[in-house]
Amino acid sequence: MALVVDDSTSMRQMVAFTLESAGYEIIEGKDGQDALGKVAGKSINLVITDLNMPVMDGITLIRELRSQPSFKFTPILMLTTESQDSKKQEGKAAGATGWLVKPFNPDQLLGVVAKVVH
Amino acid sequence: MEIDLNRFRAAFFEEAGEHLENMEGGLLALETSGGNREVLDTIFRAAHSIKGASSTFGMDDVARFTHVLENLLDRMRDGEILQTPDLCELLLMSTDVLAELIEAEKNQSPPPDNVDDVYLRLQQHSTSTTAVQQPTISNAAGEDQSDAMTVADYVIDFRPSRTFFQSGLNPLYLIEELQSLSTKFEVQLDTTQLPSLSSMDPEASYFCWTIRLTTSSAQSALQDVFLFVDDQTLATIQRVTEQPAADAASLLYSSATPYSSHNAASADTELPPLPQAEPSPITGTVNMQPLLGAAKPEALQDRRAGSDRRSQDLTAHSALAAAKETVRVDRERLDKMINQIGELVIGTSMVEQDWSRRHPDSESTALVQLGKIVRDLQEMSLSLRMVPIATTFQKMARVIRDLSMKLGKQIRLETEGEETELDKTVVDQIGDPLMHMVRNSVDHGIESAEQRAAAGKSPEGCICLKAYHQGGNFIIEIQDDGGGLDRDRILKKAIERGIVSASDNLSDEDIYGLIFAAGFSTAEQVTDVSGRGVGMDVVRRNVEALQGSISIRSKHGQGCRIIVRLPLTLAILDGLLVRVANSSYVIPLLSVVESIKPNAAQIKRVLGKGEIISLRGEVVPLMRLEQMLNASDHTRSSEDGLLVIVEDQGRKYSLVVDELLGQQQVVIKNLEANFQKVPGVAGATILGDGRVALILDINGLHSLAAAPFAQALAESGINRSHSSIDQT
Repeated sequence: MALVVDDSTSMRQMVAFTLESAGYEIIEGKDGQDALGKVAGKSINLVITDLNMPVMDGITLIRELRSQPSFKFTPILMLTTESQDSKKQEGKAAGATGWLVKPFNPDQLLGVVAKVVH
Repeated sequence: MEIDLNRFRAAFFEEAGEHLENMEGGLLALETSGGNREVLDTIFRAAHSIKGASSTFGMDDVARFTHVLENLLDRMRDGEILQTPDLCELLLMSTDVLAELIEAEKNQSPPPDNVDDVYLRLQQHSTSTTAVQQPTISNAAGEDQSDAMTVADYVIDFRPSRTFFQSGLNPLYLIEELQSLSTKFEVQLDTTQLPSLSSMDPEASYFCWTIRLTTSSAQSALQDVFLFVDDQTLATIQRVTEQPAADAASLLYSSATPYSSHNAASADTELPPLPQAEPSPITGTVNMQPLLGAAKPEALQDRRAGSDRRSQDLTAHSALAAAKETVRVDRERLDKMINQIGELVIGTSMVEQDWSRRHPDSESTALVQLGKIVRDLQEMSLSLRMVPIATTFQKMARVIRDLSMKLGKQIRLETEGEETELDKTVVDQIGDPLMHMVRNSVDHGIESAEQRAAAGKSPEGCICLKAYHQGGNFIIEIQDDGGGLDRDRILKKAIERGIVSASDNLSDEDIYGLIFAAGFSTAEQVTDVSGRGVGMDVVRRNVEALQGSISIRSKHGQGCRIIVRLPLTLAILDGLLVRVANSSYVIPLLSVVESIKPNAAQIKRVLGKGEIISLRGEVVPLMRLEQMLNASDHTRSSEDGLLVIVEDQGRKYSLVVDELLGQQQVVIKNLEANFQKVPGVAGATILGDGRVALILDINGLHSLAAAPFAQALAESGINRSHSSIDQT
């Protein structure tokens, strides 16, 4: 099961669809807060989150997730744009596993996912 | 694997539309109320979203344009670029261009002409953009200068930091990935750092590995495996050449790129602190800084502080943003559901009627309860289609701003009740008529500053848009404090155009209503803005197509007030149920003025024009529904029956009916969809007794009365075997 968080519906759909084709069951969140509510009590193998979201942004979500025992070691990938280099550092500091740079295509997404999940 | 991204395009276009609206709204607010961090954040985020999604879906033109727009906005919200009126104008224009670019993408049509021009201007405003000018990072590792696609041997020293697992990484995955790239692979495990079981932290990483492998992949591919490791982790990749192995003090060869910074974790090694890894793009550029160069923790800290502040601002803003939860629903599904609930209402009425027929004296509490629930359900379902008029008002704001600037007039817009809701279809269709009326106000209504000053008014004109609910209807008022309508000029033009004759007895209100007549315009010059005379009659027609009505009041020299009345929903109608012979018909209550029982003396016959009734001095044409609708074959005498006086497009008519059956809210069923369009009939409904009642269209009836019924039928292509009716 994978958690996909992005306030852009089209991006979310694309990522969800791509992961579904790789056999994942998807939980979608439109912002950090929404995501936290939806994963309570669920067993998640992978998290893909955008950084720029209203209500609760990606970095805060990563921090929140890492503070929960069931998410301590879950692979978390951030979606960033190339002009947000500082965000990568911030994300890593918050506990993110890795990142994906926009724009990316489904193959690239699956490639990076394969690095962090088996 | 082939995944077609086109399926997500529809969602993108819908989203982009919303983002563009937010941008425009934010920019307008910025213009009027000055630089506000939260507003800038909203605008920035909207542009950022569009950029991310458009580039993902291959819309490069859109992405490129949005990119430079986003940079400018980013620097504005950082305070690096100051907001000026010119800049706001440019940004608004850019939003328009962006909208056009996206539209072009959607329709596969050519982009607007001014794209390059605006693009350059945006670039000029945002001069040096450091972060942007880095080469685009792709996820594939960049090229290493010393890349050779030949087979080579490498030794990799992999020392994960103590906290390696905490970022969700698994060292074994990395090792497996290396193996997948290798033709020859050998791993050596180093467990020397593992403490005793009692002092070990199960969540910490203690193992290290030395890996020897042979691969034909480029070194950058090997580096790529360690893409995500943290600063504390050491991963040195050494290409094995003829040169002897390096001494412990300099593990860094010219062809190797370390992925670690300081090696604080393993205190017992003799390795010197390695140079701080700059967050440069992963292009494999060789980091040739001196081995013993001091790490630069401050730089990283500053960056972190900056981004902390940024994220704090973002969080604050998002907390302020209304946490209104919405669900996106397919419009067709919603309509189907509402239709079905309408059927439920009809079905319930039928059961209710059936009951009262069988048990005329008793009431079923269960049925009463059910009826209430069903009607509540219907109200709820209709409210699902309700949206606030705010977006439409915002469009007006933009129009007023642009137009008043173009004409050099000072105009202030005031709005009231923008959160008032009405049916989405109505909102979509009322936009253009409202736009036209607002443009009229700006163009012809409000005078120039000098004219206003000369008339003793404040130089700034005011247009007020008001929306509110009243008696089951949605009312929009457009009021301006301009010069008002010129009664005499209107009358003169109307007489000139043959719309009315000089001898007609017209009230002031009648005269103002003349502007809705087709082909009417008193503008001295037909400007490209308005005044072509095709506007107001189209406006009225559009309003009435929505089952609404429009009226206008004016005071010369003081201003003009247009009132548009619309039904709250197009799915149900407040109607007056009437019986004509053996059939029931519904007359829209909005059109009904009154009903009277006439005496024979009031009804007169006028040569060449049919029957009329004299109503308090007013002449009102008579329409015998029985004949017009072919409800029965015999004509009845004039004294029997009732008259229902209705009004349509400012004209009154009287309809002869047999009986008034009462007022009722009916569910509108579309006749065209189920049968075909019938002149004089607006739709149909199913009554509680299960029978169908036609909903009358007054405008259509009037047209029918003007031409023989049979002729009109023939023209509409309906097959009839009866002969034509008696037409006087």
